[in-house]
Amino acid sequence: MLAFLLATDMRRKMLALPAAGVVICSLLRPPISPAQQFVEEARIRTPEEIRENTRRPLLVPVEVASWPFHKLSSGMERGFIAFERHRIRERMNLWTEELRHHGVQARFGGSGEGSGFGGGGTYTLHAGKANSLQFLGLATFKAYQEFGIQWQSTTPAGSVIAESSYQWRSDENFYGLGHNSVRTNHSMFALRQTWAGLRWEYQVKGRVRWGALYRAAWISALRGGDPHFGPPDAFFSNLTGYGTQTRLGTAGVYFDMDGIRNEYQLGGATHFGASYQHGFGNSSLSYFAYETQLEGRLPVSRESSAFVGQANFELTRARHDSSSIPFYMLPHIGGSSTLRGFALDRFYGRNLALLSLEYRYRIHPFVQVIPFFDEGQIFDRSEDLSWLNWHRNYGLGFRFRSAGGATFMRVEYGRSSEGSEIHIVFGDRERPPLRGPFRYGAYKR
Amino acid sequence: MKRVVILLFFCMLPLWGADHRLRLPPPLTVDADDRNIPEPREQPVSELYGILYNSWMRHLSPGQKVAAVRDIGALNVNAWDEVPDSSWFTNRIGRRRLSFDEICAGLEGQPPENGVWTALRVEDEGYTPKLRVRDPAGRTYVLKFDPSIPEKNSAAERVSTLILHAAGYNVPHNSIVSFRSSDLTLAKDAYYMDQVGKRRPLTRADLEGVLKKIKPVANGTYRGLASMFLPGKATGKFKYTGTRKDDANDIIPHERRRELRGLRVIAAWINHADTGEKNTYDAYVTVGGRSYLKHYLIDFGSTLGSGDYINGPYRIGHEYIFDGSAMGRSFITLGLWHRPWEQHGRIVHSEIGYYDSELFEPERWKPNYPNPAFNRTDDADGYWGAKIVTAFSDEFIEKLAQAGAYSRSEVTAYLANTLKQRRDAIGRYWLDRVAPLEEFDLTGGRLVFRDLAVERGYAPEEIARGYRLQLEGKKESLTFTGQSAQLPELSLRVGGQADRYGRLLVARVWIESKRQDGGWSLPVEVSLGQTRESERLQVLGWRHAVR
Repeated sequence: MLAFLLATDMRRKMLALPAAGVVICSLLRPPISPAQQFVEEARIRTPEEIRENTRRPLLVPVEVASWPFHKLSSGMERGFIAFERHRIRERMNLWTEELRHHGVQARFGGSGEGSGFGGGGTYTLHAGKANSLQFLGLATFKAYQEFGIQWQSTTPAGSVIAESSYQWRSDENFYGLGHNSVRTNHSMFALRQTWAGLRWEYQVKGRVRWGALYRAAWISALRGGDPHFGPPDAFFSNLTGYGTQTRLGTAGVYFDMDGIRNEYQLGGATHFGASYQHGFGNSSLSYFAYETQLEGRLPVSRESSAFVGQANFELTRARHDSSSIPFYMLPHIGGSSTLRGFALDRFYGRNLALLSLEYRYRIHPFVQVIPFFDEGQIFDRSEDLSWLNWHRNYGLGFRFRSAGGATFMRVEYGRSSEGSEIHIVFGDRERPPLRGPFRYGAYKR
Repeated sequence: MKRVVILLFFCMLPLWGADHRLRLPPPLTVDADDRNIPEPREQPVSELYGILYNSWMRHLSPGQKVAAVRDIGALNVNAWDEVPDSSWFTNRIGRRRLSFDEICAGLEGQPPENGVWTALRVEDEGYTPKLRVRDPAGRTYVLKFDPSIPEKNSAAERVSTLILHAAGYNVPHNSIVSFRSSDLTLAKDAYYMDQVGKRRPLTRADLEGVLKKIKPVANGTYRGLASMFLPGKATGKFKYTGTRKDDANDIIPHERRRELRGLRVIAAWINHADTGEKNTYDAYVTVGGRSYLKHYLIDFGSTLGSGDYINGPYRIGHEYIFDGSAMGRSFITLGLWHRPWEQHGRIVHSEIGYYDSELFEPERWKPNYPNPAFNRTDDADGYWGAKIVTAFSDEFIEKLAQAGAYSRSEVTAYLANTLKQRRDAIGRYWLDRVAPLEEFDLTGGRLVFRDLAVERGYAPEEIARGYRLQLEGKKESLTFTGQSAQLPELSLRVGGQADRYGRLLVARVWIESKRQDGGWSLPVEVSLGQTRESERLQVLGWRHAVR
């Protein structure tokens, strides 16, 4: 240290620097504890010999880099010891069991992508084996809110489900209508969606189900909660549905067939749905919506890899006397469930076609890797559906699973002509029985 | 730029500064680490942290990387490359032939006395409850049961206890017991402790509830494993790295202890993948007026394929729970690489679980998650472990398998055969890789030794076995067969400086043995010299796997 301070020129100072480092490191390193100083001939090694053979070289960068690591790891160790000593994991398991016993189950995140971090739970009351009443409440830090009530009665002739839901989503994306919409026209709006309805569903041997439903809905698109983005009417004038409430009834039927037995086995699944929407009161809204989802799996390597192909189509057909369909009810693509190289809900349009090819393979029982290629388009008329203007992306995803097999997190990186997107999605995505005029949960990956 | 290079050069200088070569180790058979020490505080460990740190975090520590690179071998070895007896380890079958009965009798403790056992406590850990009982002689035991398949865990624990004890480790007395419900009575202050540690008085109904979870054997009795309470006061667990600051006897970093590094080979033999710190135990004992820490290995209920399966049974012993190399291999090959154990692993007898010899590769065996001491296992440690494993004779192994008290004879036979086959795989690998030569002596100018590979059947007959000898300072080497070699004349030193044990090193000799593939094994270095007592040239000691 003294040599460093006394050195008159830079060259000498640099020569003295290592010596200074050695001294500092020696001061930082704890000496052998006084209790260990005693040495007897009968020990296999003396403390000096051990010190000689275990001391690290006095490399200043190593010492400097090790210090925060050492502090961090020892702090973590203390935390984990406290966690285990107080049996926090066991307590949480017990609480979860206790809550489940009373019909309460926790849920994380909101419904659909982009709803943010948060959670809530369900409370289920059972009346016999066949009847149940479930309450749902979810909220996230992104000001997302959802409440729902569902009563279900199971009979040999199928299940009858009466359900209602309220959703508030404060940060919804809109870039304009059609496949030529411009990314810089990024606006945001908030959506309030309330509905109530009745559904009947019949399940055949667990693999085939079909059902019919009727719902009454009240949907409003309002100014978004994020001040950094303008509202849609700042970019697009006369946008149908913005700033008003749409009241409508929707009636539909659906048919699902699930032939997927295992992640890596040959199989396929189909979903078909059709619904008719009509406005209440003075509204002349009247249109049909059709949706199809096809999925096929082709194993490559036994129990460890498979190709998965998906095709999704959504068509809306307005009746000749119908008013325009509100923009937020139109099909849209972009985001983790559709085009992963594009921003969430990047394209809106009357019709949608989406193709996706994934190669899913397992690198660990809990970790799956998915290179993927997605291609999709929004179109108003079939003439617009040219291969030349489809939006394409490719990328790589990781899916993390729990020991029980449920996916608890997906991380996906997609690259497209508009740049790169990283999606982090928690939880398994459940597809609703029929999308109809509602915005979320049309696809399940 | 020039200045930076100069600076880096000087920073690197300390790397070359120290002489890392160990001097000739002491000729001690006992490491006196049983000095009186004040009672240490309890040292808790975290299993979760152990997994996290050893699986991932350690890779981020530059200090650890440097320490691993500079590790030149175990520190607690004596002149004959053996581990001296200590509070960690006592040489047993590795040093001399011991009968099975001697090993059983040498276990610390006794099985519980027959009669009425007093139930003291039930611990519900969410898996299978443990029952704490006192036998008529007043000794306390923990009764553990087979959670899923009868005989599986209790037999594995009994067999592995005997193996580890015979090898030299400190283990509790574990014995298989059978009892009836009527043999249990409740202590006045008996209590039931639930998963979160909450206590309430133990009732007869609780006791019956515990027994209901266990399948009784045919005649209405229950089978369990009685683990006798260890002597002394519990002071927590030991770690596989560093030392305990409050134990003045503990001066050798644990990752540099041969018995912990070499445990990897013995653990591989019995597929003891659950060797984490949670399965260790430090007891503060008082023996002969001295109070010190004694270090135990505990809980072998998941050995011999009988453990809980995270990621499926066939991973055990082949892959860590989170194995970066296997995951990386799968990632790069797009999932087309198949783990051999997933394809070909099989459970032959449910009482044993996944324990086979076909897919066993001693050098590639892995515990559930990286163990810091196992990570440092070098060739000398591996050879040391293999020397112990191959000391178990066929007859001894058959008795070990019988100690599992399996009801089906084919299960006993399978276990014995698998133990033998895995032992032989270990012997074939390690006793071929390292020159397996022991007990060197110099008589009439001839250097004589024992070849363990020949003696234990892992090498060709003595006559055909080839060796190569090189003397320090000589370029030419001598190739010979048979277990002795004539040494050239060595000039004795006069007036040299003897070490603190009165030894004066004169020369070193390196001997290699012919491997099965025709190459030469890692040599054993034999130190020749004089002692204070005798000026005659003699063997002072040897070290294996010197590179």
